[in-house]
Amino acid sequence: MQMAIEASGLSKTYKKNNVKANIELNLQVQEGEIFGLLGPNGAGKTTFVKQVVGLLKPSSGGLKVMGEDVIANPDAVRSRLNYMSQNIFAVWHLKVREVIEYSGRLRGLSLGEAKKQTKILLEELGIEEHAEKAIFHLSGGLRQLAGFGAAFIGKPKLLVLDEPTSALDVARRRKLWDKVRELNQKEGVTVLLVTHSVIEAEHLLDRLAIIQDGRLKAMGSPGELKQRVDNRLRLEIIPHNGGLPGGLTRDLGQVGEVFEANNRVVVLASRGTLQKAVGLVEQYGLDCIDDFRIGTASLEDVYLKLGGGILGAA
Amino acid sequence: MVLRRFFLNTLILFKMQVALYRFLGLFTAIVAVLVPLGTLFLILFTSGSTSEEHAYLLLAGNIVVSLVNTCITSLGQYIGNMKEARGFEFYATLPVSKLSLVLALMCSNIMLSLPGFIAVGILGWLILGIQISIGPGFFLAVILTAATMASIGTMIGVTSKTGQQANHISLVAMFVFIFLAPVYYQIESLPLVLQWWGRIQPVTYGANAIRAALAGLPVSVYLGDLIILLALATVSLTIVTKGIKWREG
Repeated sequence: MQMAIEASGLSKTYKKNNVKANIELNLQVQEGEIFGLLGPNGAGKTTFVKQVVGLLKPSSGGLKVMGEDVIANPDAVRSRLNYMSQNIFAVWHLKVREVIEYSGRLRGLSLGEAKKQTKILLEELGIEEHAEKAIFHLSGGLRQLAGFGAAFIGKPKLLVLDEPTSALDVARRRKLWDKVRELNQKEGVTVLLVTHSVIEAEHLLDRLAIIQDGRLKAMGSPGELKQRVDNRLRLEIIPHNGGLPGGLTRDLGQVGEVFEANNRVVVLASRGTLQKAVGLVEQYGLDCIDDFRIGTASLEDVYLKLGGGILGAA
Repeated sequence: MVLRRFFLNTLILFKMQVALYRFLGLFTAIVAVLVPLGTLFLILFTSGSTSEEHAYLLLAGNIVVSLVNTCITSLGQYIGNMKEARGFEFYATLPVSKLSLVLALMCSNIMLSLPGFIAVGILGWLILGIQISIGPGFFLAVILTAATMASIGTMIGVTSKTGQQANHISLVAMFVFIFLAPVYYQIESLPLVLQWWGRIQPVTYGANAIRAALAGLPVSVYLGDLIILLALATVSLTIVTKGIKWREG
């Protein structure tokens, strides 16, 4: 199967401040899959994407996109992929309809076809009532949807989306995921998606790579990555007043692997020992927690584990 | 096919740039008229009555000032601010050439300068009371002068590190081209140093050609100026296109 994207030993250091944004990245995106880059802010995801679309020159390593060497010939990839830029400042003055239609025309669509696809996209994205408004008159979420329209038009082979739903409400986000999945399943479009939302990753991705501090930490399907967290169960605690008693945190660390993030404490443990963890909480008193939940490991656990935040280990 | 695609893309990009003037058009058109008109009145009312030769100098000078104002100052500032905001990222990932974008930016600004120099030309002609000749030579002189100015404005915008730097440089450039070059006066009336300086300024040849065209002189009289303008426009366009980097790093 041909690879849509092949990075080998890809590194990027910004000369201005000597920051190593990507370090020896080796990853492959197969044609026809929805591939994600997951990682915290500053991990190097956008740096990687900008090298893929030809906006940034790598410092070292190799990078091929749809069979083209991007480093030697960055212009060649621009006709093979559609990129949803986070920055549409250059077209802030255009109407929503114009941004989408002109993008289609510049990608080679005839006037009639561009108008037809624009009409369909405006309806599918739910922004037809805003079609004649200028971009700068819109809220952040609507601007993002207009950017989507500009990226979707023209039947791309490879679609590159950089944090595409960050400003969208839940309903619009779901709609967009459906559209991305439809493009992938019906038209075989390969998608490279940058996100820091594990929920988005769980819903959409066939495979993903977790990047942190410029390095590739893990790569695989969501199921494969979750198995790295074993078959352990997950006890998620929302502490009262922002934190658990120190003694409880220490004791929990003795029975399982403990993470702390987003004002929650997560304990991963086998079935037998998880009962001990629940018992410990009861011992300290249920007043010290606001809520708790028990379930199987999630992609969030994989993400948190590789992203740090371990307080103890079994 | 490739050529057809190039022209089509340039036209579409031109339409995208012209759309900006829905919001800025009236203000920019007013500024495009006021600056040269103000200069015209200042010179006219401080220098008293004017000869026919002086009148052509003033009229041609104001048309050049109008072009400098829109094609260097406005364009340089726009591109500098756009570059600082990474606005060109949108175009950089589309299958369009840099030359298409540069031509679209230049042509849209040249179009923007039209109200300015038409108004200045008409009002100047009415106030100065001279016969003016508007023919193919005049349009050629104006277009080539505008193209050269627009290349300079684009170069300022592209090479500036920030939008503010582009603003400052383009304002300085405007001052240099208007007052330190023989736009409002014959080159021979300038000190020797400024005469030499004037000979390497594109506005000198632009003002010469426009002045001669307005006076109804045959094209052969100012053909040399047109050829120099064409060469300058071609060279500066090539430099600008190569200078734009789609890819950082």
